[in-house]
Amino acid sequence: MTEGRPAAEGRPSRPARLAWGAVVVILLGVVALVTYALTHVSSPSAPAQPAVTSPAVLATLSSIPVSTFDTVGVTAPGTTLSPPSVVAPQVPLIVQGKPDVLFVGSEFCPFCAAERWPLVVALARFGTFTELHDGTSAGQAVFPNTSTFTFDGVSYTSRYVTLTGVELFSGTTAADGTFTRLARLTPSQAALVATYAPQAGGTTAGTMPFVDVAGQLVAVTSGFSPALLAGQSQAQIAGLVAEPTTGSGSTGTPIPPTGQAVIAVANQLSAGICAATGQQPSAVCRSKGVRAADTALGLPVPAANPSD
Amino acid sequence: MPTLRWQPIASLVLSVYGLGASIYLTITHFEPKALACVSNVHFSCEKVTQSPQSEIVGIPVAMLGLAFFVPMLLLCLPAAWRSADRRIHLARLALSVTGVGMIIYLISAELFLIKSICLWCSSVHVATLLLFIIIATTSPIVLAPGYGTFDEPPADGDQS
Repeated sequence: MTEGRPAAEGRPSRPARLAWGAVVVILLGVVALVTYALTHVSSPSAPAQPAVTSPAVLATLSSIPVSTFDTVGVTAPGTTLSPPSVVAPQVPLIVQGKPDVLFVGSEFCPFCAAERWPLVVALARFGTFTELHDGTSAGQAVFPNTSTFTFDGVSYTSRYVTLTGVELFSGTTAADGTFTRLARLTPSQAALVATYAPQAGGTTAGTMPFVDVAGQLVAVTSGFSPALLAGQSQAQIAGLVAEPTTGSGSTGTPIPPTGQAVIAVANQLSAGICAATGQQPSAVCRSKGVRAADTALGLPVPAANPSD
Repeated sequence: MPTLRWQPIASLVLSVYGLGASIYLTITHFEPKALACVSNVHFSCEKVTQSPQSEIVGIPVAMLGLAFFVPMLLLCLPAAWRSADRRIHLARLALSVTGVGMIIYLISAELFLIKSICLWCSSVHVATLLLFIIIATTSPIVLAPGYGTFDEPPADGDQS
């Protein structure tokens, strides 16, 4: 034991008493703190987990006919698209031996919300989302409450490509008014953003969304305006994507070119993925819609499918 | 003169543990997927290490842990414990007081702001608290006039 006790006197010295007193005070403080927290502060509720995306919505987005992609091509009437940039040759972006699609965004960000739609549609042509959750952009920002998904906790399987979804911040604010940090970029991801975001017109830091399509394409904003998604639920948007029509609805209200925009951007993103997968699968990569995107973006154009 | 027995070794072991855990938490601060930890409603290392409170003026708390345990480890080496230089013992005491103040803040943040407990962090808090207890209770000895200025008496049977 500590020997701060002069044996001759048989009682602790004054410094020793002070030291032990300080220790006791600190220990009592810690015990009081924990006791107070356990007895007076409400039990922490389970963190609000975003809802799992409806299987019906996911099925809709995963079963869009090739003919729809081919019909739409790379344009959407009445709206301007922002295609991704073909960047200078990158070190191949490979994860688990496959080309990787890196998405960096935040749940609060409306442009990220818009970009997830064509990305989900494009990736669904190459594989399967086994876990995807709903999301909405922040209510206090521009294009508030835009319906979308979150890639936080996403699970995607494919023979051809992997998805790395990084959601940096939450979509809702905590009690202190700040968005909760969900993730941070790894050094290699940060290096990709710093290197390629400027080439695509973004900045070296803080660019959201940042989408690196398997080292072939980089997008630093959404492919279309989030305004096209305004006021629509996730199911409504999925319906427009599945049947991208224009004109007027039954009530005479103009139908926004939401579906065309999502499909067109999905074709562009698909073209980037195809460039990295060696044009596999051919049913996707040699389709008319993807080849139109190849041409528009300046990517190598494979031969058409024999059936086309 | 009172002597120290197990305290130098115990403090060294705690410092090594604290340094290792701080290195791990620093890595996982930047690479959350590398974090292996119990995660449920009450416990979540990820929620704590990625919370706004995980940084102080932009510096990750885990790195502050490194900045605490590196000098603490040096100050808890046996040679440092034996030193007659009072400044070494005062520095160790000051550092341990700073550490315990810091963990009181961090425990409060976990309990009241983040409302989740990080078990890795808690283990570092316990190590810091134990270090404080050891250092505070030995300070009257090592800060006493004349400490370390003479060798320990030879053990029984030692003929040298």
